[in-house]
Amino acid sequence: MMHRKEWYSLWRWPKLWLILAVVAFVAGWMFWQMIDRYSSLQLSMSALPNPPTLTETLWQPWLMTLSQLMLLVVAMSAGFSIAQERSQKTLWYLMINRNSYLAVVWQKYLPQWLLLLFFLLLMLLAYILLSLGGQLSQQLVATGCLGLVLLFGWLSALGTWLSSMCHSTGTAVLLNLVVFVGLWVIGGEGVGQSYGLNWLQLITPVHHFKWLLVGELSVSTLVYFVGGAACFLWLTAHQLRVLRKSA
Amino acid sequence: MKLNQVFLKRSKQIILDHLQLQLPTQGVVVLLGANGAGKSSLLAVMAGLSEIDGGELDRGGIKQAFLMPEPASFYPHLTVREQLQFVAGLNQVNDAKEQVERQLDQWQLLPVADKLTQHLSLGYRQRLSLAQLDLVDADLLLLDEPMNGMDPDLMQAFKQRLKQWQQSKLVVMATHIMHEAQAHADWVVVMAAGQVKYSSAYQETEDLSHIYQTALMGAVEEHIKS
Repeated sequence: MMHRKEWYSLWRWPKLWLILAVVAFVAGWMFWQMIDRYSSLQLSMSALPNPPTLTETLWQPWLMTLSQLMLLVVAMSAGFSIAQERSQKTLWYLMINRNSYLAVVWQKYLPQWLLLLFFLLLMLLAYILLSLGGQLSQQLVATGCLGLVLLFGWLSALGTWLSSMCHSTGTAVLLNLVVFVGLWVIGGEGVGQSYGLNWLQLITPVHHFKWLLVGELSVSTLVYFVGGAACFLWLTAHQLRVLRKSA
Repeated sequence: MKLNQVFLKRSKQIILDHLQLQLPTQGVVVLLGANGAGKSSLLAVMAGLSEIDGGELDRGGIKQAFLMPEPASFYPHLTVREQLQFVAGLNQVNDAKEQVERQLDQWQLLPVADKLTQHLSLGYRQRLSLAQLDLVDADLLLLDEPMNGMDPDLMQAFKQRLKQWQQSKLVVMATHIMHEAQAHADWVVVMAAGQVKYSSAYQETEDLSHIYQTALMGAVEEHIKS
């Protein structure tokens, strides 16, 4: 019932539909722009000794764009998760007669995954369209999809934790956006490279996502995403315990 | 239920000051006190929603508690029926679907059953709050100012239900409406400045407002002496 309540709240929220429409439009527009550019350069590229593949030229950059758009949606859905309960004073329903707050956190976190379906649908459409025009590397497509799923889970967990620290939904969404964009900037190419090993990049999800995009599936990346998400969820449960001390 | 030296401090302000209280296992406890005396905080502590900074809270054999807060808060994107279904699911109510329909009927919520809770009038919000309380069937019911703004019809229905709860549950009711509370009280607690100033079984011959005034006078004298 908890999940159903979350879904009702999510789908009956008009702003979400607006945001998803904007995301779908931008993703579609970018996809068309990339294909248009690729078509105009296709002849010159085929003259190269090792021409870039369709996956490298279109699939990977578009998936990167899609992940950036995903930040917006996750910042909103995760930002709303606990802060909304606090602002509308309904958190007590979840807290009363409870010994474990991890169950509460899990019930708030899991329904957010429904939004991932929207991104998976966009990816499926892009995959079908690109497959009609050429050959895509199945391995890169699979690791790219896995990357997006893991990134979604990691960001949602982080966003839920940040949301549990805010009284108002507006603050929570803004905080999520600032943190997500900050992590994206830190994880960008060329940041602090003059210092040799860039540890700042290693702690950002972007860096690990990029590895998955190019097909590099490593244990450290899996641990980073799964362990990171678990850690943020545990911190959210801890924050709920702290809230009882201030209620 | 027993509270021993319960201490609650929030934002550097003492809310409950080494509060000592023992309550019967069932019946209606009327909790009186001026605004800011700590009544709502005490209810939150009893519900387990607020963690105490000192002392002990022994809930005895109470397994499940449920609250009627003031003001009532619901999920704005749920309809009345969905809100009740959500509460039933969360509190593992048996035959949830049947029970929800029964409560909708009992509290005359059927005309607004498919309306979003954010669009409910005060009267219907109170009805929904009471329906939730009834649905969960908890051992401990905590009511914060339940009678504020009740229309005569609802007051009548509430008093009837209170009589039934009185037989099997512990109902702690914070209120300012003494003449209505008097008819149902089994126990009276008077609070002032985060402390219990009076706690005793209620005798039908006593006047609740007299008990309240006397307890507060005692508190004032105590304050002057200190």
